[in-house]
Amino acid sequence: MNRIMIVDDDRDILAALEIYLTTSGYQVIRAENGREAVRRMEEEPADLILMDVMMPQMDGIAATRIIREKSNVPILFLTAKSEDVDLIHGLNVGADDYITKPFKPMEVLARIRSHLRRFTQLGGQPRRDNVLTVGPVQLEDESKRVTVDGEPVNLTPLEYNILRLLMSRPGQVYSSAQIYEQVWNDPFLGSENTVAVHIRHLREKIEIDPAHPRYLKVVWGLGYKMEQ
Amino acid sequence: MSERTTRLRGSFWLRAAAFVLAWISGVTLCMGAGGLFYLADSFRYNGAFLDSPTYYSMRHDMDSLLEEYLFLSSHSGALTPAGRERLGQLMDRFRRQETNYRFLILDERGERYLYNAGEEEWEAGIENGQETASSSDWQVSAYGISAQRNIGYYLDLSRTEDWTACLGSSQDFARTEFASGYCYNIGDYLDMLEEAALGELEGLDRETAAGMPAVMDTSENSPATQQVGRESDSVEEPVDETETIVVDGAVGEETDWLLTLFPQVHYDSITQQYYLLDEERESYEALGDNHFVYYRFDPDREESYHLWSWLDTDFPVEDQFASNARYYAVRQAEAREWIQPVIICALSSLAVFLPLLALLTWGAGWNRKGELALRGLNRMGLELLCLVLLVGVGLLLLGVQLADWLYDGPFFLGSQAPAIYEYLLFFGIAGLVCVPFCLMAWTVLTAQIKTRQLLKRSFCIRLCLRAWKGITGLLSRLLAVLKELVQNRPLYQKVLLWSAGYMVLMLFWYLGIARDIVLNSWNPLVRSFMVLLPAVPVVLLLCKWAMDYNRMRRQVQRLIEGDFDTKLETGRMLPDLRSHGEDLNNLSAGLSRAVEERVKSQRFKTELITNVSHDLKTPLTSIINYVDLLKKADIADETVRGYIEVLDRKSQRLKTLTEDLLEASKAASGTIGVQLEALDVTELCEQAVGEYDERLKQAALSVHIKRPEQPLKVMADGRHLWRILDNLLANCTKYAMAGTRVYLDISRKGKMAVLEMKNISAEALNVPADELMKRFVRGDSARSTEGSGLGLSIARNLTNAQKGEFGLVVDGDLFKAVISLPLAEERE
Repeated sequence: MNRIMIVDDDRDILAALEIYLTTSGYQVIRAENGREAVRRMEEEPADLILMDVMMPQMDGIAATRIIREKSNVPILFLTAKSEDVDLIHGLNVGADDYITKPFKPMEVLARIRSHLRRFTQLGGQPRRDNVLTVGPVQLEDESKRVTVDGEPVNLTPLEYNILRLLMSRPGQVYSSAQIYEQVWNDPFLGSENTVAVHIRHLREKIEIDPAHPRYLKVVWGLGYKMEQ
Repeated sequence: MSERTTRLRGSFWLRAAAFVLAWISGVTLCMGAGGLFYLADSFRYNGAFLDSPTYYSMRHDMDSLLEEYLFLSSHSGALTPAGRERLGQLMDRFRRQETNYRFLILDERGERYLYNAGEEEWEAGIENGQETASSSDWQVSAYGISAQRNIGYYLDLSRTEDWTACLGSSQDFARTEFASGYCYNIGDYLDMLEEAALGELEGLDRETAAGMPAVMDTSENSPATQQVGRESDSVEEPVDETETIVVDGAVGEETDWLLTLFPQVHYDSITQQYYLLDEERESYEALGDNHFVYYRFDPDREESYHLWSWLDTDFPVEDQFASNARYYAVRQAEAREWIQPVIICALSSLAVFLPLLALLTWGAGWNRKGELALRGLNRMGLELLCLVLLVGVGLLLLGVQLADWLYDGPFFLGSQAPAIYEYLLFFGIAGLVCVPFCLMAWTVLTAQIKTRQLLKRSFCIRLCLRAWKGITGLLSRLLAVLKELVQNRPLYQKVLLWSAGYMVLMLFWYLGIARDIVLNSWNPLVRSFMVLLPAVPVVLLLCKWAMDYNRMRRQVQRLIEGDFDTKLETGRMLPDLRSHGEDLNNLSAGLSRAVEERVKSQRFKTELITNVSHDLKTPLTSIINYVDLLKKADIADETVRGYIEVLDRKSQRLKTLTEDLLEASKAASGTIGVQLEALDVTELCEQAVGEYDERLKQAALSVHIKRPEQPLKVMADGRHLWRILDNLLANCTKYAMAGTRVYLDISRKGKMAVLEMKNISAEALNVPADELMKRFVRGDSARSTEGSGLGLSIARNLTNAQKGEFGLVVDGDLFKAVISLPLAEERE
């Protein structure tokens, strides 16, 4: 049974989350501020932490930094701050993901599942070549198999090729023209938005929240990339 | 200091008493000083008359007379009646033996002439040196001269058989016995004579003296080395003049004027003296540098004379010399008696006077109460004091006159009275008159110095100080006026004034100093230098001005670039530029402050928005969560489920609204960060449309993109542009009529890229375009659908933030949004 710690200064949110999580079968540990979170982590470490950012006494970022010195558990930020700067800062500190408030409980649960799966399963898998891994997405080129958090995903050949192209160089931006030419092997005439549509489908299949993708990102005006 | 002493110090009576006593002792002191003067005078020449200036002057008179006689007599052809008369007078004096003055006249031949008073003529003098010139009264018979001591001797045979030393200069006159002895050379012989004169040798009789040779042969080859002495054999040998004479150099050489004029002059190399040889060789005369010889050389007559003069210190004749000598002696004796009393008097007076003076000084200026104050006389100014002193000096002179009168007049003390009385009288009266004035001046001075009022009291000094202050005040005022006149004018006036002044100076330069040099100088460098010199200061000034101006320009550039911190150094600039520089510094300070304010306020706004959003979102989260839980809960009642449904919808709406509101406020307050980069507009549009693919399909809309001929790149922020399109496309899906087309035209107009999105509205747009863009205004005035009304407003703000333009056109059912964005610059 996985243990999840939820840290938030708002008790109502804590209560609601606890209900969600316990009904999903997780054991819940509560903390109301960063200091308490650190202390509880030392007493009985959890397998995943849902951390609010703006808290009194010690905010989520500081707590994350301290916890990260000793533990590698997935930390998900629950934050009302949605500024890009804050997100980058949060991820730099050591969080694995973030969820903005107000959140959809379903989404929260999905992300938790994904991160837990990655965390528990990652250690056991041997490293192999020809396997591209970005986040939860794993692409095996030999068997043309794609899994997200271990779960296999069905992709069309075009979708597969696009994904492989993007995963071959994570962080590299590919324009629609480049993707088209590489995947369709035809000169890009610029008259279709085929690529965009396919990207969208791809996103829906591999992202938890396609509207707010974590990995398959649009770089507006330039193209698309696979975030590391 | 005790009170008694204080009162004593200030006591007037004490001071008065001290004053009087000081006066008296001052007078005695003066008299003592007089006595000291007297003593000094008396003993000045060791009391010897022969040392005194009186003697010298008297001697000199006589010598001059004789000299004159010699001159006259040697020019007897030119003797005038007046000259003859003078000569007569002179001879009278000598004839009458009215003097103790003696003289000898020698002519060039070495003959001695003595004056024959009886014949009134000069006769050839002593021959053989031994005979008395009987026709004269002069007791001169023979003589010899000691070279070393410059003493002339004559043998006075008429009286005693002894040599009497007489002096041609001013040594002592002494009579002594001549003793016998011998010597080897003339020098020794002379010494012997001298010693005899001083009584150290036994007597030398006449015969012995007569037998002595006149000269000695000192050369090695001389036939005989004469011995002067009792060995008369060698002595009696006649010495050939020519054989035994030793002459320096050749005989008759004209190297020495004496030899040419005096064939009888000989030189003794041992004594190194010249001797005038008597033909009879019985006497000789040394000629030296230091005897008073009046030598007259007359080239016409070839006659020259030597004059020897001396004084007979026996004073056989009662003349001026004798009386003076006597007077001196008497005075000396007198003075010796007075030494002791005078010294005692002086010292005791001093011993009394000094303490009194000290007392007066101590008490000067103090009053009974122990304060320093200037009363009465003490307030005299320095000038008045000097005047008083002058009066004192004047009285002193009067007093001296008085003393003189007293001495010579009614109270004639006579010349028999001790000389000291004169001195005492004079000094006493002087002291009587002068001392009180001096004392008074002294006390006033000390009082003023003590109270530091010396300068204040002095009228002159005060006047000077006042004048000085006046002058400096005037000058400083003048300077201030000038300064104001010059400084506060506008720059062009100042420049004009200075230029005018400088041109005047240049005028002076060219017409004055430089003109001469330029016209007369042959050196072209100098000429050009003088011409160019006035230009130098002007050039320097211009350079300085240019440099300062440059610095200011750089400072302005710095301000443009945004560096508000570097300050300009204005200390060493020219005046007008300096004020400009200071203004610039103030400006930059003001700007930097403004920037700081702006930054602060921006930060404040951002924080505000963040905090507000957080505060809004937190309870909203709980609402949504619990509503969700309610939805999951098992509630049978349909109406309750209906209520929950409403709650759910509304809470979602609230969520959307909150998010939109947040964005709108961020966009409106300008706190969004905008990162401009070169983006492909077409690509972006396609991406956006791609995102909306499903929704557009659901809304039964199809999008037609019209691409430009060439790919257009704009300077925009990708996220914001996406958001704009997101809003517009969302509006399309919400408000466009189903089944219609949405047109997206991308084109280039000038330096901007233009994006136009057109669609047909499902409902009638009964709101004008500009109204639509306002916040919370929705096309659907019934507000029954989801939109918050902020979308377009946000879109516009975002467009503006990217330096673009946003416009709406509503034409019937046609809704058109126009976005213009600046093109990215082409880079090859």
